[in-house]
Amino acid sequence: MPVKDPDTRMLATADQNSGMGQMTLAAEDRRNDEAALVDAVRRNAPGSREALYHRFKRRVFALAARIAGPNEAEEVAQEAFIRIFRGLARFRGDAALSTWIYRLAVNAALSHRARRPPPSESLEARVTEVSLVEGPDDGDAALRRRLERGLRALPTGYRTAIVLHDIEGLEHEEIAAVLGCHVGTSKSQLHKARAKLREILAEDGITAADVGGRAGRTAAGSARQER
Amino acid sequence: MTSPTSSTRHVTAERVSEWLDGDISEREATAVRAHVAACPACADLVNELRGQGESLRELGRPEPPATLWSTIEGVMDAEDARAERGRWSWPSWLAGALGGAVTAAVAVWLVVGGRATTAGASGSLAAVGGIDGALAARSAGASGTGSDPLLIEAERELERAAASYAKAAGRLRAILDREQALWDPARRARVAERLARLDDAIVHSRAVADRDPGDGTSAEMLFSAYRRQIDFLAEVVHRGSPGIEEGLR
Repeated sequence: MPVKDPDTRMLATADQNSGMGQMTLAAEDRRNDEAALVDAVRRNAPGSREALYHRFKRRVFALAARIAGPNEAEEVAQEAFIRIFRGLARFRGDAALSTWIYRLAVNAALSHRARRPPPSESLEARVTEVSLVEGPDDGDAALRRRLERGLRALPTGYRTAIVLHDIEGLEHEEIAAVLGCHVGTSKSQLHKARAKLREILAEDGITAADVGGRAGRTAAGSARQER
Repeated sequence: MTSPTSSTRHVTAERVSEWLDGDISEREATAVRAHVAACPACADLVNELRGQGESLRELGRPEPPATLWSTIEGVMDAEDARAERGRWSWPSWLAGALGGAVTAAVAVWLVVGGRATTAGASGSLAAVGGIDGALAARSAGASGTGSDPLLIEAERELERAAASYAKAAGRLRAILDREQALWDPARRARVAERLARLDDAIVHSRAVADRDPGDGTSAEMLFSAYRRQIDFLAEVVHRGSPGIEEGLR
């Protein structure tokens, strides 16, 4: 039976002890709030579509950018939101609204990518590519830029899993619901993706110290203590 | 710190990832933990993957362009309008009445056009054609050629067209009278005001046409006034109270 690593397990226990009741209440409030928003959009209440858009715009746009590519993000996000508004009448509430929206956004991105595969990583493509990271080309901004590029070099399945789990913070059960796959497939894709990304970053000259950063320093400390 | 032995081979990045997420059994986790504790290279790998995960979490979400919402809104508004038009089917009686009016107008055109063609040298009729021709025929009738059966027929068709428009408008108005009892007084007043203006336009056009039956433009104005009235009534009846504001614009 899978068990959590002690560090992770400790964190989970702390979370549960500190505010499980509050989390449940917050989740309940969010569900009610989302149900009200869905109902308002279905009734075509003034401003309801825009409210839903603003609530999910960054999640949808980020997914679109990372799965279909930054140059395609606007078009994909537009398509995703149109699918969302068209499909909301059929949304039954079996899954959380956010899971359903993630599913439509991922599907829009994947179908767009299938229709229009990204150009090869030519110099021209890199020069004209919209950057998801603002700021000077050094320090943290440069590292983030290279991470984004590393993500784009991953196979689509790996990239989708790592984006949904490590960036968007979805659980494997949610990812399975979004992608229509088994939980085991989601886990397997994620672990392969992380390993592959590490290789890609290493080829790009990014060292353990570069990505390790704070995590490296704190985790190294705890790892040594464990030893 | 000890070096890894053959029984404790280096762990792969994929395995470390599974271990970090707790996706392996307790027995496997114990083995990985023991190896990592003894192997600096694998301990670095653990730190590296942890750091990679943290760096990914810190990437955040980019802000979409400010124009994205207006584009989506435009597409959805256009879809709504198309769907609205699709749901809006003219009642069969209204379609029949308007069809009658259009048929009558076409008949006028054909009758007068035919008369103009056969008349050939009658000059003004050949030049004006259509409703202009029909009204020119009325004018000609008034000046002593009214016994021409084609011209008499044209005049009757014109009256039928006007009557068909008036009938369609009358039926819509009856429905409106029934429905607007549920509306608030301010909206009823605005609709009444708009209808009064449309009625005035019809009365004015009819007066002009009657004063100068030879002026085809005034007949076209009359039919245009009827059509505007019918369009407005149909819009308000179809869309009900919420659609009125748009109909009033």
